[in-house]
Amino acid sequence: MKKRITLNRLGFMALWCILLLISGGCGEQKKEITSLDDLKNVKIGAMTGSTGEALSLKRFPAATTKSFDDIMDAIAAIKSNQIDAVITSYPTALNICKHNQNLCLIHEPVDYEDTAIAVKKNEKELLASLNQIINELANDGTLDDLKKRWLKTDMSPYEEKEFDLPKEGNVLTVGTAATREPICFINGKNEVSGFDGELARIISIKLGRPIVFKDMTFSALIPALMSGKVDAIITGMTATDERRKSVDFTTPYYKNSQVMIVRKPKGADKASVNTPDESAKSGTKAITSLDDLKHAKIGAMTGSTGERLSLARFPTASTKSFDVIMDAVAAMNANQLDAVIISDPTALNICKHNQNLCLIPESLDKENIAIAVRKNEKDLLASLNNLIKDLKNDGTLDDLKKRWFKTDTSPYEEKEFVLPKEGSVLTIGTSATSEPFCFINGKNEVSGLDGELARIISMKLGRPIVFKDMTFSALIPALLSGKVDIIISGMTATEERSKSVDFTASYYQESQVVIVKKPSGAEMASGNVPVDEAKPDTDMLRTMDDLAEKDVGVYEGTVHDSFVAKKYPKAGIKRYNSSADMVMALKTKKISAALLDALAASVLIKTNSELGILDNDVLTLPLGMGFNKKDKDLLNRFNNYLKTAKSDGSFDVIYNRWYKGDPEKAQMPKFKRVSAEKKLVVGVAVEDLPYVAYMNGEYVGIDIEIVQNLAQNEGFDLEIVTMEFPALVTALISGKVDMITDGIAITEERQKQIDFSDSYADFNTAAIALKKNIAAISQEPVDESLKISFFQSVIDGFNNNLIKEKRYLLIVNGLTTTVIISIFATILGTFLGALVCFMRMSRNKLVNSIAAIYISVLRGTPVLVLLMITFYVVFASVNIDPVFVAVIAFGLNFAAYVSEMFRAGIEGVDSGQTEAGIAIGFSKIKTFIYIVMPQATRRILPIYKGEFISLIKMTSIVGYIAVQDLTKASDIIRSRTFDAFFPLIMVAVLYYLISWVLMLALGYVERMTDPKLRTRKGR
Amino acid sequence: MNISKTQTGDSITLVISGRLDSITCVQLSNEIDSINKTGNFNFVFDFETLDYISSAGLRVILTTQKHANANNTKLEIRNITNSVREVFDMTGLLPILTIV
Amino acid sequence: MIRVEKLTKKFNDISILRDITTEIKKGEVISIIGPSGTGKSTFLRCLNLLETPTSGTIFIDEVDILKKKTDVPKMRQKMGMVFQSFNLFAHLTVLENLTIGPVKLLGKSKDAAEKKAVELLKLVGLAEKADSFADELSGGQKQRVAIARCLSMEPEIILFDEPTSALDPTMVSEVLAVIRRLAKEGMTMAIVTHEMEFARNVSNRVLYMDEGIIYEDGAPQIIFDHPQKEKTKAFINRVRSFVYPIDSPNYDLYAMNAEIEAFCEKHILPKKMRNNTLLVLEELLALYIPKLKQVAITVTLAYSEKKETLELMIEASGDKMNLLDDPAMADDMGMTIVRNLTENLEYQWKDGKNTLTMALRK
Repeated sequence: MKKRITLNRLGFMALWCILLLISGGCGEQKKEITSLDDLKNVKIGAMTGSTGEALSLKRFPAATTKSFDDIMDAIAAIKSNQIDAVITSYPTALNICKHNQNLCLIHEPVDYEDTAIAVKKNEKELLASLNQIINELANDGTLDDLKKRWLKTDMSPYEEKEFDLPKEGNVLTVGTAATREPICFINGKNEVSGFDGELARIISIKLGRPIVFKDMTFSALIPALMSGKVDAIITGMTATDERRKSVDFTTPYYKNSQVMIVRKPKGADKASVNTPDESAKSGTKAITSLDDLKHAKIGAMTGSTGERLSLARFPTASTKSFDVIMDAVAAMNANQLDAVIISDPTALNICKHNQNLCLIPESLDKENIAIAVRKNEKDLLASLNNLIKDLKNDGTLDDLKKRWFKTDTSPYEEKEFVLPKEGSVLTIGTSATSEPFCFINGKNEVSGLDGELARIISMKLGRPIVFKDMTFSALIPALLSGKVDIIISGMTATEERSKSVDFTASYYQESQVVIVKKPSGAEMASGNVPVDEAKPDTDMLRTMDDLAEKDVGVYEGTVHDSFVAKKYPKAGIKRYNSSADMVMALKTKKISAALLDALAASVLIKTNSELGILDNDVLTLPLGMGFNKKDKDLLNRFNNYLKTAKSDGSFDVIYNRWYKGDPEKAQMPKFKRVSAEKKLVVGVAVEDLPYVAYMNGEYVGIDIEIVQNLAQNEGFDLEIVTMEFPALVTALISGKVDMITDGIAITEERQKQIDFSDSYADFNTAAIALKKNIAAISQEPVDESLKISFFQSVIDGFNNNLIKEKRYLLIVNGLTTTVIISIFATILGTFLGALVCFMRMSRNKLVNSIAAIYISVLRGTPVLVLLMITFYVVFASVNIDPVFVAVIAFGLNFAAYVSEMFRAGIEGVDSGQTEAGIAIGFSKIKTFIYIVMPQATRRILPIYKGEFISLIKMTSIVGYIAVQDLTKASDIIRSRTFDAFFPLIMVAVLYYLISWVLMLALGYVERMTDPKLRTRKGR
Repeated sequence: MNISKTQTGDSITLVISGRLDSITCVQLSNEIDSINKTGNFNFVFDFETLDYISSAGLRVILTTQKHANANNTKLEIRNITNSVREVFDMTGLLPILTIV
Repeated sequence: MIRVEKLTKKFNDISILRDITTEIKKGEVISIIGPSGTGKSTFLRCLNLLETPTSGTIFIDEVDILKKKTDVPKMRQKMGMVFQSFNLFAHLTVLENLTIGPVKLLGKSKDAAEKKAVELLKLVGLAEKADSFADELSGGQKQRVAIARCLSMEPEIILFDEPTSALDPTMVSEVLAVIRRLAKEGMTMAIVTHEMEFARNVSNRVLYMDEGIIYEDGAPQIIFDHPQKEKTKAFINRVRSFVYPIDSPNYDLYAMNAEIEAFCEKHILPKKMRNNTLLVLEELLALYIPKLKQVAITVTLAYSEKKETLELMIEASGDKMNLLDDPAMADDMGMTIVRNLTENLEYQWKDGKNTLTMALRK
């Protein structure tokens, strides 16, 4: 796209050059373009894919090259001062200047090029015969005659010759882009005429083959030729090297020169020469032509050709997709969009109803509207095609157009049909939101042109019909999956879609046009309307692109992370480990939006009324289960299972359970534990429904159900372990788990480390944000009645977070785990610490330095890293209870701190105490036990207590090695309830209580070692 | 050593406490110099809390006395302790100074 | 009961004790005196192996305690030790300090040990402090408890390592009284001390140590009244000498004064004498320092208990310069003060030093 734009720019520059050349007499006028040299920094228009475009880019790299599909668009642009020059071939330029008195040519040609006929590669015969004809024509002066008659400099009418064309024989289809008078244009008799038209006819006669012209946009010509839609292109096409890669060219029949068209530097026009720059500077917002859309916000329907067009034509603009056109219009009315790209009938209708909107008369693209049919339904396709041909011939289609595509607001004249009731039902997919094509009328029926067409089809086929109304983007999937039989919904027959479905013959040719707000007088005059009307409220989010410089929340280690980083490098990425954290961050405005699984998002906004979905389809990725690269066997077994399940329909049952219905209410069948020798350890992160959740004391979710089925079918003793999402891959690689799952998107990056199963579902990403920050829904009033008292909310929180689904069990188990880890790690750490301390105090240098290294290494390692190393590296190949690992890791860490504490405590005891003990007759060891230790203990205890408390709190990271402790328990609960307040506060209180109780215990020890307190108490 | 200064009319009372030795005498002499620069004053040295005096301190007192004699002002020494009086005595300063 | 032969102790090649040979007999009370840093404490600490001798042999009751087979802790139980810094067990009460040894080492029952402990506390006059902790006692009380703690182990000999050095002067006597009492009761003791009067009164043998050897060994009357050797004599005469070197014209007068005051306080000299000493010193230094090209002055104060006189000596190296003969000094106020406060003022030119000696008038 960029290339094309630059080409355009070059074209403009060239035009400017011409202008300057011509206005040589007015040398003082700096802006005037009189020679090619003046084109360096101007805007040049060129035809998309034309040699002019390439030339412009090459010759005037500093100029802005704009691409136009049609030369007339370019001319309109130059006339409206949006571009400064147009680069095109000499004959065309000549003709244009003939008709436009204020334009002129720069006579200095930009380049010469050969114009030739393009034929399909390897059509040697055709090529040879065409070459022969051209040679003949060149030799016998026919070509010169053609030039003389068609490339006129005056306004005299063309002397068109009549030919008697062969009617019989192999038809030669000739592709043209008949918009370039005098080379190739449509004459008054609606025939392709001009130099090329006549040449084509001459060729037809010489070859003895009838010809059919296929007129299309210039850029479509070569694809058409290559796909066999046309046999040759005769449309003043330059034989470039690049094109030669795709097609063959005949010998040139005309040596063309690319020249620049510029505005005539008349006195009056001099001023206007400057206007484009001025208007560009002032950043006027009024959009009057397509070029104004460069940096605009453009709306289009998701998956529509308009969307594709917008992206392709206006890459610098931000394209926002809507599922229903009315949303897009509403967004535009709310100043959230600058333009909407939509097919012309719909556009017409919209403008009819919205007085403040208007069409940009230039059409972006033309497209064929057709009925989509599932591939290989040849019979249905054929009958539909016949039908459409009949309707076209008998004027029904014209009648439909007349009645539905009105330009005024008079009511539709809807016809009544008596539809067949018997027979096999034809299910028709529609997206009934694009009046007048397809909409729901007052009787709640699908109506509009498509509705009526469908009914006509129903009658003609003698089959009853049922409409299935859905969002536009769901239509093709529905057709493919057999949910509907055909789609009649103003759908354009694009090549891309043709890959998945078949299209009938076109029943309507529509063009994509742009709707914009009518430029009000004030805006026009001032030309100073702020570029971004959102400025006063920069928090307002309209599209994903509004997040470009905001803080965005993502799941740590998910694809969203890299997605945001790549797409919005300026956005601040905040990583979270649970959606509950993200929701909390959203609510507290720490982030502007959060990216997460679309399904999860929809569940989540249900429970969080202040949140809304900003964009439901940010990114789609297939989900797979992860397997260790070394364990191909398991991977294959899983894939086989999945394949079987998909084919026997059992997978659909599972899929529908979690994806179609409300996953909250889904009932997973009970699975019996298989008591097999083969153990299957599955790592999950309990990321929430529909993947994995923890309800009523067991794991549920689609991932779990699949895994359970796998275990059942393959005879595995299934064990599910929970860990932090980012730790899943590590756990898998280190062999801690056999497979991992939890809505894991299949990404290339991950595939480097692990193997993925075949995809079992898709992972759609949604962006959620506070409703009041989402432009599209911010107007919705907040339902005040939803606000409940604090007391009530605490009670609800209690019920939700503890009672429901027996969640207190999670808390109790987590609490036990935390306490066990804390206490045993402390005991281990204390004894190990004492050992290290004695080693450290040893006079043996070796022993001493071993201890010193131990202490410095362990103290220098974050305990989380130590924990992971212990679990995933040290005990990687050992099947070991992670709680035990946690005790070891925390014990090791605690020992390092405690040993130094001990040393300080022991060294703090006066050496005189030791001497006195020894002098009395105690041995060194007894002296330590009876004299030094009691005193050191008293010094150590207060610090020891502090360290002990931090150890308890530090254990909250054990979730990383698949231990379900108190923190993880609360995470699991939060992932279900999205209530940040209650579980977090509760866990905080519980941690405090653990600390408090254990502190009391230590306090008792402390009192026991305090001789004064103890003695006083004893006496 | 501590010096506290109070002024009543044209007479300035310096209460000197602690030790007046070869180190602290500089402080006293500076103080007196700066007072003399501002005009002619009668001096009263209150030695009630003076514990110790060495010849260096005696010299400052002598200088002050000489200055007073030259300017027709007076220097009075009050509340002298025994140990200080002894030093004055053995150095023969008692007759020269006005000791109240 | 203790026999030491050729005992040598080196710290990093520096000899602290050199070839010491001596014997302590049962019932002897031995005072070890001598200048600081001459190995008195080290000698004592070697006796119970708190310091390991570099060479030599120590026999206790004819057992060589340096032999590896010897049960050193057992040997130590026979020898109590009282430290300069008391070293009471801080985590134990006074009573427990006295019972821990007997209970854990001698195998006494707790009751018996406590009974004995209370008796001992009565002996040192601290029975009421049985339940106190060390940090609740005064220095003198701590030292008395420490002595009692030694006694609780029923030792055959007690080694006192400067038992009064860390005490306020007011508390010295109560500790000395306890030791005197033990001496009367016939306890064998070796006492390193600076209390000359005490040493003379309590001991029946005095060892004068200097430069790492036992320089003179004899009855207190001989050592104190008629020392045979020159160094002993000098020590006894200036037993409590105070030496202060001055090497800068900007010397710290107050630091010197503080040390002199401490010296005087230790010898319980009257305040007037202390003041006069400071005054004389200040005046003399004020006279000397301006006249010296390079300041290298040594001030020595010596108090002779016997004569009860405080002698002052100022040695100034440099050109010969007799302040006493200097006519300019005749009327000097400083000189006048000096002459008034001192007697026996003498000048000597000795070893390139101007040496001025005098005694403070009483």
